[in-house]
Amino acid sequence: MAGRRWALAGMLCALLFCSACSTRTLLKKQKLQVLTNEQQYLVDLDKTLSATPNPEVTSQTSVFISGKTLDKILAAADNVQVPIQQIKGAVFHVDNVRTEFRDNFPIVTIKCWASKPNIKTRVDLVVSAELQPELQPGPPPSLRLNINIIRVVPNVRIGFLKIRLWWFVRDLVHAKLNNFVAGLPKFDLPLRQDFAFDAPPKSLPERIPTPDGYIDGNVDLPGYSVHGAIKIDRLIFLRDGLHVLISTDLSQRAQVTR
Amino acid sequence: MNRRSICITLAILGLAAASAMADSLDDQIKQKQKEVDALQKQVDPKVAPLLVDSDIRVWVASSILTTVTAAYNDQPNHHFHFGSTGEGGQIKNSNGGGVGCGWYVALEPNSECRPGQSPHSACGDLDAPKLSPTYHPDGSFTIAADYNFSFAAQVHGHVKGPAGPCSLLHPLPTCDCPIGGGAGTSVHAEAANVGTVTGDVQITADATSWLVYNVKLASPPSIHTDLKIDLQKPGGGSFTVQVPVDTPLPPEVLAAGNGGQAFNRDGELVVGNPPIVDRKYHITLTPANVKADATGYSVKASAEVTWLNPSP
Repeated sequence: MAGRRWALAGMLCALLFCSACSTRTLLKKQKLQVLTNEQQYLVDLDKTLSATPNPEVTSQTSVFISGKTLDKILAAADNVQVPIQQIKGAVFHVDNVRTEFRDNFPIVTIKCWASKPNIKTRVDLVVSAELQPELQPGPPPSLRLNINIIRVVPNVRIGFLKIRLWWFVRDLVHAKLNNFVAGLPKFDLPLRQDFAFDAPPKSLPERIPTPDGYIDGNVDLPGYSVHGAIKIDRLIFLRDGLHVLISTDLSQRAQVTR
Repeated sequence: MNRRSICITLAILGLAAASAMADSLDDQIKQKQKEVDALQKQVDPKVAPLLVDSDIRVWVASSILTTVTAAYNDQPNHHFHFGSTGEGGQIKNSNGGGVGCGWYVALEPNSECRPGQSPHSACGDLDAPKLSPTYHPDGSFTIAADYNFSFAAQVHGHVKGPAGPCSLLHPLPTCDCPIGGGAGTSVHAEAANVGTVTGDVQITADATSWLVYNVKLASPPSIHTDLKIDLQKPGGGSFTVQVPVDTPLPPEVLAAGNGGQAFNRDGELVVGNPPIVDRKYHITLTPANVKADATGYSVKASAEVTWLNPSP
């Protein structure tokens, strides 16, 4: 009987530890993959800048949006509080979502917490994630930035006692939080899909001097417009923000005559 | 070996294997982080010149401006037209001399300079089928175009009668009192010229558009033509007079337009599915710095975000 208890206890501990280990291993593999992606990004960036120190000259247009500007938009998600549907009585609160741009996929830091007031439990969370671009084929084509979690740090408060949880609970919380992050903002770059030059027709008064007088009249100038589509050539993340290199496919429209 | 020992041994072996795998991954992560850090140091000096110190920046290559002129060239109609609406004085008055008391030429009112052009007595037509742009290292942009120009007019040519006495008190003949009304005819006259015009293109930006341009002609100030007009002499015969007409090219802005907006200034931020947050925003751009150089034209702007609906 005692032997069975020892075996059961041992197996339970092993199961618990292995469960934590397998989750931890999974997270480490994710971390390794993220680092591999970052390394590849830097290799590509180094190669590009070595061949062309100013990459925008290879395109027709470039647009830059600073990280600060994107944070101004993300500020809309500040202090949002909603019930957690999966857990009765629980509330999920987002303090803020901010970007940290670097010469790589930018990091998104999401400061949030979840609470269950009836048992006086609150879990503070700081979620760090990366933005990864994904070109969406058109029409019209667009650029979507997806979120990839890289780190979660939780605290658990039960009444006046603050317990810091590492390892097992953190890993579990992390794994479940992927579901929350799937619902976090997806950026769609606010770029126009079309490109246009428009010069309307106009009529200008004109006086032609003659040797002994003048002739008055009007000069009619034809108008024309040129419209085209925008195509994203390349996206470069740098520490100041997002650099988007664009080409235009200009096609003519019928000339607008007087 | 009893079952308890086997279970404990298996548990320990499992733990050891898991731990070994974790240590291997830790080493790989450390090594990978080192490689990433080294690459970052390598990239730092190459990135520094590309950084932008504004909220928004839009850059347009000089090649795109030539693409726009190419689009103009491809269009079927490059015709500019002048139609007269009135006249002051006369086109030309010889004020005596020559035949009798001289001659004058004026527009034939309410006539047609060319078939179908009534009531324009004089008209000018210029065709510039091809614009050739040149982008200069200082960022200025000029265009040149070869042209064909023609000027046509329906004119009244009048040869005055010979000098005559005005009165008994002024019996000597003068052109103040010509004998007879002279001879007048309605004559169609045309002249043509070819040449090259050049224009300057100015580029700027304002709150409505990142690219606002206008085109002004730079040279020549006018196009010269010589109208040759056949005049009838009183009593028969004719002679030809040549009247120079310098048609000024308009000094005002000939073409102006804008490149539209680079941004959809109205956007929406949605969080979650179903949405936890769904807010509409508007971005106000204030251009601050327009710069042109050999590569192209850029404009920086500050951006302010305004929310159009309250947070939930």
